[in-house]
Amino acid sequence: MFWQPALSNDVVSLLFATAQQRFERQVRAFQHRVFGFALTYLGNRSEAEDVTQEVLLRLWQHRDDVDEARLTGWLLRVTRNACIDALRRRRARPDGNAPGLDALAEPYAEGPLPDARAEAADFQRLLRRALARLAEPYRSIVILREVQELKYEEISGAMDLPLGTVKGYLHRGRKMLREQLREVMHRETA
Amino acid sequence: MKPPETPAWLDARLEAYLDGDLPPAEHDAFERAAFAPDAEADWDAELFLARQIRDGLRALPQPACPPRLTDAVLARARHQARADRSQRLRAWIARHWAAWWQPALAMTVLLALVLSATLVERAEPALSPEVARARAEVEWTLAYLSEVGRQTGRTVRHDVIEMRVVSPVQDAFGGRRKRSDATQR
Repeated sequence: MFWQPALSNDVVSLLFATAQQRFERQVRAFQHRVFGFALTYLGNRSEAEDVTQEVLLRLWQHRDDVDEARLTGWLLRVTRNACIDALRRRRARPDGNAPGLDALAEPYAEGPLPDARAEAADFQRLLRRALARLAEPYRSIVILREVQELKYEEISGAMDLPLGTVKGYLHRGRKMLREQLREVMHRETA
Repeated sequence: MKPPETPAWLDARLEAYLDGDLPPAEHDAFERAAFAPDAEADWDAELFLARQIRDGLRALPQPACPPRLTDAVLARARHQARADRSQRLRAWIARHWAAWWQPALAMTVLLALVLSATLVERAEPALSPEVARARAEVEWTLAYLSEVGRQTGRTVRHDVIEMRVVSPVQDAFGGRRKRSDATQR
């Protein structure tokens, strides 16, 4: 016998089909988390869509390398890096200094607002603005923990940081938000 | 060691206190210092703001990924899978072709040689008219000889039968007739 094919065509097709099905399942499971993180981080729907597409296609390209058990951490790490790159590209543009806050839907935007709801909406606007100004890694950790409600262990895996460090960064990040908001609110009431 | 319960110390631990992440000793120290009647800062207000931030972050809307985006990603992955498959097939053919084209060519040449040799052996040479005539004569002669041989074989057979069967029977019957003739006489 001169040669023996490693895989027959049928087996190759089957493997491809299985890989595609697995990828489709993973995309359906993580698409909202990836898009949600990107949108909260960037505050711009168009950029968040670009990042989501880039991350999911990168998952397809690395489908054989990514361990399924560590998929959440891998995806969030890649998403965060893609967001940082997108932010860098935005800042490099001449009009790119303003933080994009257009995309997060106003939850209280319909109809005339009662005082309490108007106050809450106003606070959320300030909060999003303060979040957009937060530096790394505080911003990512605050989003992952408080907005996406991930466990400390998951954040630790995604950020490649020890658990105690994650907690420390989270508290410090929220403290920074508190300082920013206190200042803004003080300015507005003055 | 007793913690230094300064405003900065309290400020740095306010979020951890809110989440219940302070060690018991620090938790107690925080409460003692923050809620003391003679506390300098309004820690109640700070705690209220910290809680408002935490709850506000948790209430931020989590928008769903647009279906058209997911469809585009899956379509692109399918397209790439098809491209990968044909690329792998081409690579596979290139890899294996190099390994087996030489033996295959050698086998084909060998087979062609064997076949042509067999055909050459079987092919009858073209005959000239003289040779064909001579050959026909030889064939006729051989056929004649064969017929003669056949006939000779029959004669021999007759002789054998005459000698071994017919003559003894005739002798037997003739002898009996001779004896009966003699008796009648």
